[in-house]
Amino acid sequence: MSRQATSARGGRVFNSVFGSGDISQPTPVATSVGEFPAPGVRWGVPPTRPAQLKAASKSFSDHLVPELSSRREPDSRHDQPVESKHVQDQVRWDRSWHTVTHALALSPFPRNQNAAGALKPLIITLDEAFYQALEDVLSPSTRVSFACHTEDLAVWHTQQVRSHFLNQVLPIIHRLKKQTDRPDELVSESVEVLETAHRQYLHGIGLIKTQLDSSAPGRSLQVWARFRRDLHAVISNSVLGPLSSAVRRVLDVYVRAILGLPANKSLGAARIAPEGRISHRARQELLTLVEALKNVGLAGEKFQVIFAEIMHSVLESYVKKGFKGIWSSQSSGERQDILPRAAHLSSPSQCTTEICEWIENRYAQLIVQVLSLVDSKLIVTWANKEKYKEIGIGHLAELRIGELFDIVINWPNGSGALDDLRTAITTPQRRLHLTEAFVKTLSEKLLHPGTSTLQILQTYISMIWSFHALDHSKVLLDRVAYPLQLYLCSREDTVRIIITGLLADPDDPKGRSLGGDKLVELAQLLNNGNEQVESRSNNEELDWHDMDWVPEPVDAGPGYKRSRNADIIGTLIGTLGASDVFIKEFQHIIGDNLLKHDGGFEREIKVLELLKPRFGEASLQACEVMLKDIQDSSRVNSVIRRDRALEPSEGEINDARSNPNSGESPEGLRKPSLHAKILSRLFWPQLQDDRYRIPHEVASLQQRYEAGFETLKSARKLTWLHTLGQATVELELEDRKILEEVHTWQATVIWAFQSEAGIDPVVTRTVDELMEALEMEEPLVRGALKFWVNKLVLHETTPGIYTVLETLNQEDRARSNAQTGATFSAEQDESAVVANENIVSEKMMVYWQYIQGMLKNSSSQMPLPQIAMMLKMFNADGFPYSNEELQELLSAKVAVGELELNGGKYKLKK
Amino acid sequence: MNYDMEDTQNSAPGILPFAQASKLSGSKKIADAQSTTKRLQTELMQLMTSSAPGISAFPSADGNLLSWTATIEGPDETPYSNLSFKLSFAFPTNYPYVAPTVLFKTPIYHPNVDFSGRICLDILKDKWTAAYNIQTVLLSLQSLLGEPNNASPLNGEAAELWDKDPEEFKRKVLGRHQDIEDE
Repeated sequence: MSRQATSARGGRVFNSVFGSGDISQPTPVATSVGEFPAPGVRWGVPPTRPAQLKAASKSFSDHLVPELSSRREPDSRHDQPVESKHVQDQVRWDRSWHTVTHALALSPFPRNQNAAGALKPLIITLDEAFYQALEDVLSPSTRVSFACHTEDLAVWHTQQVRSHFLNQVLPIIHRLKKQTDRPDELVSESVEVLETAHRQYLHGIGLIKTQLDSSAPGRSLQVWARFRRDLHAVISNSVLGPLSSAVRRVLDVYVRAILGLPANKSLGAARIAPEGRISHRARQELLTLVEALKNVGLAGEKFQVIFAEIMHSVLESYVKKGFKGIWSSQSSGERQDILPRAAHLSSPSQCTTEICEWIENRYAQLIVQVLSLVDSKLIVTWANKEKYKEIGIGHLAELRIGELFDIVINWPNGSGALDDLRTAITTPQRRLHLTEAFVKTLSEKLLHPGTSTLQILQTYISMIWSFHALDHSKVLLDRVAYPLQLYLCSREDTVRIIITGLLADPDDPKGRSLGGDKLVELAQLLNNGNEQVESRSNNEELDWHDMDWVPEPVDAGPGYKRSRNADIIGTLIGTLGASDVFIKEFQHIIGDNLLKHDGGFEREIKVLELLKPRFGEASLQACEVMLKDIQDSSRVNSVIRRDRALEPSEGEINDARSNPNSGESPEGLRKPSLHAKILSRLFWPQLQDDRYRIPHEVASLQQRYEAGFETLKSARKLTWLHTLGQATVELELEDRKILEEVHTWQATVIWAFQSEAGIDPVVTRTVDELMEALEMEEPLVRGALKFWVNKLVLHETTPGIYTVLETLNQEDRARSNAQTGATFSAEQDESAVVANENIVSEKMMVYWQYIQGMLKNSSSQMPLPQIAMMLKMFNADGFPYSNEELQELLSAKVAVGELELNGGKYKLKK
Repeated sequence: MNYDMEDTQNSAPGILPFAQASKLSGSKKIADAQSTTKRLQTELMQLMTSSAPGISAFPSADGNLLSWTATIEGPDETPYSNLSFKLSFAFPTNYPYVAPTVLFKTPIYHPNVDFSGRICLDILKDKWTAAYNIQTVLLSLQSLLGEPNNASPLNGEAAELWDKDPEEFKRKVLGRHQDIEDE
């Protein structure tokens, strides 16, 4: 459909609603009455001279009489005088109508806007005849009572104005819109045009009104108001369409200036300018503009909608820009009266107070001013203002919810923001929104393989703190923590990190400075947080003296349990992993610690005490026995050493003291010395017990010790676990002395390099020799050799052959210095890996049993996937290895001839 | 079930109590099945970690934990030495409260086993308790090979020959034995 057709249709629709445009012709009925124009008589000529008018009217009557009489035959015969009176009145009315409409006909709109004044003199030129005619037209019932065909002049004028406006003024505005890009210019010029048009239109109705004032005072105001209403409807309906965007932009600029917001729509945070000269001037200008708009009829509903939308977006951007990233908490001025009632529940935060002040003093004020200008009936009530504040706080909540993840990460620096949130999230919907949004960011930003478990746990801890500050009831935390807990359960090292964190030294500078490889926070909490554990015990439900009691939150789940304190450790331990997993890991770790270190193990005892109420005494019995073992063995150790003369003698101690070079412990300097830790086999986790031949000096010490033990504790026997010890080794090389705390197997290997008193100063050993001499497994031997190579004690001359580095050259020395620090952690890890691998293969042996049983009974030959599937299916704990690892095992078995592989299927070799 | 009826007497007659009851018993059954599965997995683990010589067992290849295949090596110094016998175990869903059904798959000539492999052994019948498990059953069967219970034979001829003519018995055993190879 073409544009013209569309506009034509639009016009039809418009006409069908507002009446056709016919009526707006200057003398519609007057001309139509004269159906038979006499030849030579002119019609439609403006009756400028009364003489001509009279002549015309005479000709009217001449011709009309027969016409009318023929038309109204039934009664015209009987009532001739009345009939003629009718005709006379009608004619008079028609004439008056003609006069009036002609006088009031709107002149074409002046293209030159300054020409508006030209309309004024018209009033002067209007003569008495016009007023008479006007009177006739306006009150036909009294003046021309017999005219049966009359019309309402006001309606006619309205139609006239409408058509004039649509045909002449509107195009000007459209043209203006095309011509200028600047919205403020467009608006001001359009307003001027409209004002001119307005004046023109009001002129006519003004005449009518004045006349009515004198003749029928009651009607005049009514007519006037109706005209104005119609005119404004026409204007605002037709003009505000094209102008709306311009008006919106102009208003936006003013409103932002008044309220102190930055004009540009950048996303970054911005400062809110205080009230000042600029805002004052902007306010004046805005009010003037609104006034002008109102005068030309542009302040109708559409304008109000635009204004409302602007105010809404301004409020939003005020909150979002003004408070973005402002998390610090400062004590607010305790102006509670300014907050809406909904926010009174909790102590107000600084940002909410600020928002409320702003709304109260500037935002609501502006609204009141504008609305009272636009329409005196629009009153901003107190309730409205409260509503604005709540909306503002809602935006703040929205903003903070978006920032919540960063706030949590920055704990405890974002406490102000948490205060904001606490004030803002008052409805269950908002709380739900908060948790949902947070869970989403959480899974996007944290719960992916790129973050370390430690990081996740640290975040979790700050989450617990933050959410506790936000909501004491823990309902929110429970909701957001669930996916996190689920994810943490999938991480294998979670439990280990928690336990090492608990056992960590809170004053350990290493852990703290680097951000730590340990959760030192936990240890700190454990040390400071005794009261937390105790306060849990009392039953809060029955504490009737609790003046801070609040009911359970509305959105609490059915299994909700109140707890007052944050209880980080409790949450971490309680939710992560099944208790048996936790206990097993704990056992492993404290087992390791107990074996590696000496001392009181206060931390271990503390953690154990902490865990006991959670998991029950019974399940932690093994750990308790382990601790007791260590404590007992130190006593037994000293007894046995005394009895068996294993302590260094006085002479030796003195000897050692006199030697300034020796370390702090005098013993073991002249001869090997042995301390033992006696473990109850049943209660300790699986321990690595690789057998190898230990140095004979140590072996003889062990025998003496064993004998001592057996006399002390009859019916008990000692079994030595060679691998699980610590040895202090002092190496005397040609140019240096090395004192190292090492594993026993490392000590044993280096012992094998001991040179026999000056025969051959440089000792060379191969890996095979060492394995044979020490009866040690290859991985252990190689591990130990690598360790000593790193320490620059040994040197691998050719692959598999090692010699002692008796002297270091300059380069080596530098390397040694550099390495001492760096290799420390690496070598620690390595030993752990060695141990792990051994345990892995041990587990694999169990699976090998399964595979054998499977191939023997279920099916004599099976492909690899089926084996893997069966292993997974029939193992209660599942099968933790991948198909590749399984294949490795099977290939190894094929290699040693226990299996054969035929066409992709494995088979037991007979 | 009787207690269902008791329940419905007190409540309004309707379909709901029945539905609930059936649901309850259904979930109980599932729990039973789970505990059976768990028990069998544990037994398998036991067998694998502490295997006794000469016996082994494993669930069938189709992944059904309720049906196992076992292998017994004939004990030395018996007519069955150096022979291996396959058996099938079918576990009821309420195992271990009911004994599994055990059959010899490998044809065997034995006083207490008939020609279709059925076994006469008291612990598989009336003497069964939940304390027995696959391993003990297999060990019993293994010892049964060396010491048949000739007082209650399923194969009378074998029972007679066991005492009278060990040579002939051994010949019959070897004649009957034939390794079955599964598909």
